[in-house]
Formats: sequence, structure tokens, C-alpha cells
Amino acid sequence: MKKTILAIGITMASFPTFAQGHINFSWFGSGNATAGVRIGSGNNVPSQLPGWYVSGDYSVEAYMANGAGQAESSLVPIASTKTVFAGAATTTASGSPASDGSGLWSAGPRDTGLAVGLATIEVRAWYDPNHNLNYVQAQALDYNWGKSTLYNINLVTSNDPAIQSLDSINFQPFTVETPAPEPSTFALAGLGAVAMLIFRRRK
Amino acid sequence: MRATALSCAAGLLAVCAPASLAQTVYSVNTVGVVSVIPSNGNYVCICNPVTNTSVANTLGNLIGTNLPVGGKVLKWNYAAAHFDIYTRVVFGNGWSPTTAPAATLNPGEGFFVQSPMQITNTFVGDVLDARYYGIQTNSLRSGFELVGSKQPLTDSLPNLGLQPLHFTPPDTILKWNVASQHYDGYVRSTFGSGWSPTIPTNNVGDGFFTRLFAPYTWVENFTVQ
Repeated sequence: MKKTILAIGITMASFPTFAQGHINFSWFGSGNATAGVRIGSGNNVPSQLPGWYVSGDYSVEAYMANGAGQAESSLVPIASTKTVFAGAATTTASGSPASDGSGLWSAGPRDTGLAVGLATIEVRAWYDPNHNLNYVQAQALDYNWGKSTLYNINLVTSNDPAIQSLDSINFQPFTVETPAPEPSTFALAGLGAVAMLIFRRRK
Repeated sequence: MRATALSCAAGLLAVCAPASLAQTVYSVNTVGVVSVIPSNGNYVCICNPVTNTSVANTLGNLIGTNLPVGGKVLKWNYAAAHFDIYTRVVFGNGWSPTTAPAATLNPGEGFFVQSPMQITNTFVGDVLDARYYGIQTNSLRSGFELVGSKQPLTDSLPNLGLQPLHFTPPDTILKWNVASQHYDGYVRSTFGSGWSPTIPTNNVGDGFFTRLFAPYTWVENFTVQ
């Protein structure tokens, strides 16, 4: 009996598993030669300027959940997809999708760990000069960051050649920047300060 | 659009060398194998069934920029159990990743191609004639392997020497159906022809997956008559 179980175990271990969903985490502009992720007007990296296509000092990662049309709040980072943008090691004015692939990325096939079938995907990118930050950390440091809109993508087994890339779903570019605080943020901060002053006077 | 792999003429044509060379040079069986690669994002699974004697059998040499921007070539990475995907791009050396041109397309290796527009690609080279190149073997490992015949032959796969022996669980051959864009599975069985639902066949230039439960050596010993 033990031998039988062992034999079955060895047989199973010797074969790759294909039940998990894979994507080709690459984007080459969806057929548009000038499409790429660029720096927005709220740029907060002194050596860079708005409009530049981002390169190797920016990281990019997929956030996903099983099922089509899932809420953004339900998406989780897919660690296997984290990569850096194509092009030079640092973002420059001369980098572009047509010249060196700046603004685009190509991680190739990735096991998402999610089940095969439709999934919701959002792509997030951030300034990551030493390649040691995640999206939240970059936000906390007021580095440039940005995210795409939400798309549906079909996850397939690893031996399915029809594995979908972001070009397959007509992915569109987005910008990275440090958004300026909105007026409502200032208003809330002001209200808080007034409340604190009143509270201290009463004491 | 069905992928067709045709040799230059009469299925397989060995073009003889000029008479002046025939006495001193052997194995000059130049063959052109034309693969029609459909558009509309459809995939074909093909192989290079001849060996190029002028240049290395690589993606850069055998397909290169004949594949339009946006096209892809997918090779199976056995160790990683996923495809290595080579995409034609407008930047850099025209490929992503940049190592793509060096990827091998040797006889015996299957690969998928997808093109945004219909193209034809001609593989030119020598038939791996057993008389000159020796008996051809392809050592297939357990699990999934993406392969093709090392010789440009049309016949049933058992007749070409591919008859794996594992029945429980059964060895399987997965042939890509271009029309349906899905695999057709051929499973070894202990009854009837030994295959279910039918005996798998091979056309010149076909690629296909084997899924084996034990290693198997595929031997081909075709000689040009």
C-alpha cells in the first residue's frame, strides 16, 4: 500500500501542473507605435520631466483577482509579474517605445497563481530606482506612481499558445506622477487644525 | 486557415546537385519547405524539417524579419514548463527579448507562430537523410515536449517511429488544430489501433506536443530513394 502511494506521488511529482492560470505579462503598445507609460504633470523626480517614457528605474506589476469585472479593492499584487520597464537603466528624454522600448515591458509568461478562466487585471507602476520598493512604499515616499484602468483577461494553462498578453486585451497607456493633494484634502486638514485649536482653548 | 507545409514539388523533392559536383559532394538534397502562417491572430504549430547548411538553424536566420511586427514565436521551455515567447517589436534588434534571434529552430523542435498578417516562410536545407546524416533520434522526456519530425515526411506517426508505450496513464499526442485553435488529443489505448480516437498523422513541417509518462526515443531512419 505504501509503495503504491509512493509510486503515485512520484508520478504526480514528475509532471508539471497546468491548472493555474497564466498570462504573458508583456505590453508592446497595443499596435500604437507611440503608446507607452509616461511621466505625468505631477512629476516628483527632479531629474525627469513630464512626458518622458519611463524606463528601467520604474517597476511595474499586475494586480488581479479571479472573475471578470471585479472591484479594484479586491485585486491583489501578483508577485510573479513584477518587472521593470524596457529601455535604458534610467528614464531619459530620448527613450521612447520606437527607439528602445521605453514605456513598455516584457516579463513573458507568468503563473498568476489564480485559477484558469477570466480575471480582472490592473497594472500599477512606480519609480523604483533601486528595484527594492513596492507600490505602497513608493507612494509613501512621494515617488511617481500610477495605475491603469481595469481590464478583463483570460488566464490559460501554461501549454496554451493562446496565452493572453496585455496587447491581446487592447491595454491603454497611463501616466505616473505624484498627484497634488486635492482641495478637499486641504479643507479637511484646515478643519482638523481649527478643531484642535478650539479644543485646546477650552482646556 | 489551415497551416500547410509543402515541400517544393511533389510533396518532397530532392533537388540534385549539378553533375559536376555530384561526384565529389554528397548530401546536397536542398529542399524548400513552405509554411503558410495565417493572420487574424491564429496560431500554427510547425517545425523546421530540414537542416540549413549555410547558416545556423536559428529564429533570426530562418524566420527573422519575415515575421511582421507584433508577430510571435513560442518555444516550449521544458524546464520551466511554459512557453518562451519571442515577439517582433519595432525597437532594439527587432525582437523582445533581444536573445530571440539566437533561439534554435533545429529539426525535431516544434514551435508556434502567430502573425498579424498572413505570411509564408520557406525553410531551406538538407534532408537529414539517414544515409548521410545517420539514423535520427529524438529523446523525448516525460511530461510535455513540443517536437516535430526531424525528417520532412508525411505518414502516420507510428509509421514514422513514434509509438510510445505507456498505456496507464496513457501517453498522449496533442496536435494543434488551426481551424478550432485548440488541441486535438490522441491517446494510447490497449484496444483497436492502439490509439484513440484515431492514429495521429504527420504532415511535412508539423509541430506537436507529446505528453509522455516515461522517456521515449523516437527513431527515424528515412533515406531518400
